[in-house]
Amino acid sequence: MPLEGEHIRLREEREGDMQVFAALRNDLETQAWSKTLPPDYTIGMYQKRFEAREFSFDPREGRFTIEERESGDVVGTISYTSLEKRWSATIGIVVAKPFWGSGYAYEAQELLLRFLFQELGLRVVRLWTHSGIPRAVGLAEKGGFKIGFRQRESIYKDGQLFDNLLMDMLREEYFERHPEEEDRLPKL
Amino acid sequence: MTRPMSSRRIELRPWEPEDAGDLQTILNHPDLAGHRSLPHGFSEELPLSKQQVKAIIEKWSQMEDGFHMAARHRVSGELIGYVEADWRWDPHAPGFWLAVDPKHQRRGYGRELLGLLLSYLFDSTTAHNVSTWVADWNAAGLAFLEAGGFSRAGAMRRAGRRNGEPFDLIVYDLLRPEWTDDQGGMPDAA
Repeated sequence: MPLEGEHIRLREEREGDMQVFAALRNDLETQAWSKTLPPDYTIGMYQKRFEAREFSFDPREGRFTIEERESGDVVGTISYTSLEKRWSATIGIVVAKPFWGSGYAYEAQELLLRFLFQELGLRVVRLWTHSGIPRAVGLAEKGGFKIGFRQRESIYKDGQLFDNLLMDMLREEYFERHPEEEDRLPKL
Repeated sequence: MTRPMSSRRIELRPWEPEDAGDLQTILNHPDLAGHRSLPHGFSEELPLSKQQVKAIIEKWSQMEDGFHMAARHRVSGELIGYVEADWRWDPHAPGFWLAVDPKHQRRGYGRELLGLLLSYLFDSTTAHNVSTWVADWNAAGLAFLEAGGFSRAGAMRRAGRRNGEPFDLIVYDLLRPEWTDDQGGMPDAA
């Protein structure tokens, strides 16, 4: 069963995606990082990262390309990292500007959350963002994330100080938002 | 000439392999179980062998963009605790951690260590926001930071499990304008 929604699917990264990834990283508005990175990332760097990935039955991260189902266009990327098995992971999402406001980011986030809670059996999912990206905060809140802590003035970029935000969602909060799904994982 | 990092009674020193025995004694103290701030891959709860402690010292000693140091008594040389400062992500907002051997707690050593750490971070680096975290069940640690002028930033919910219950990590931060050399009024609880 693929990770497929109404308009998009989450699929494995492919060689042809590297140009889009470099472009997303080199746009200061889409690089989605709490410190500014120089816009000098090359397709070759991404190609090396792609080729460096090794087969494993025990990965601590998952990286997906968000693809528009109808056109096959690359919408962006979504990933989870820092996996603590059966406990927690941290997610991140980057969407190309032409798809802002399309609802695809929300759809991708919902697909990944279902995977993390229902397939990997996590108890909590977290994400990092900051107060200078209200679009990202809004997406997380729409998906049910809550602000866990706010680290004041800890980010400096675009000539401004912003608060670093950790947002999280507990397993029971996910299932409260999804009464159509049943939580069969034994309670601890 | 390097500048010694010392306070009235404490000196911070780089870890040496021969510290393993003293450190093992501290790390395996039951009162520190669950809040030892060990490198990834080492249990926060289970007893550690000397071999494991040596490996921990090696990892701490390899730290870049930050430091991890032993806190020893200036006169007796006894290991009192340890400190960590970490600005790998961003020197603008480093994190820190300190631990005091339970048998030396409530004597003001935590306050001295915190003073040393903050002096270094605010006097010698570009830190603007300094943060740390304490498990929600560590009442002494929470009181220590609040008395030290730190603000509660919130919590990382469900950070782990202890005694059959999930617990949160409470995050605290301090801004450069809020810091002063005088950390008066802090309890000796750390």
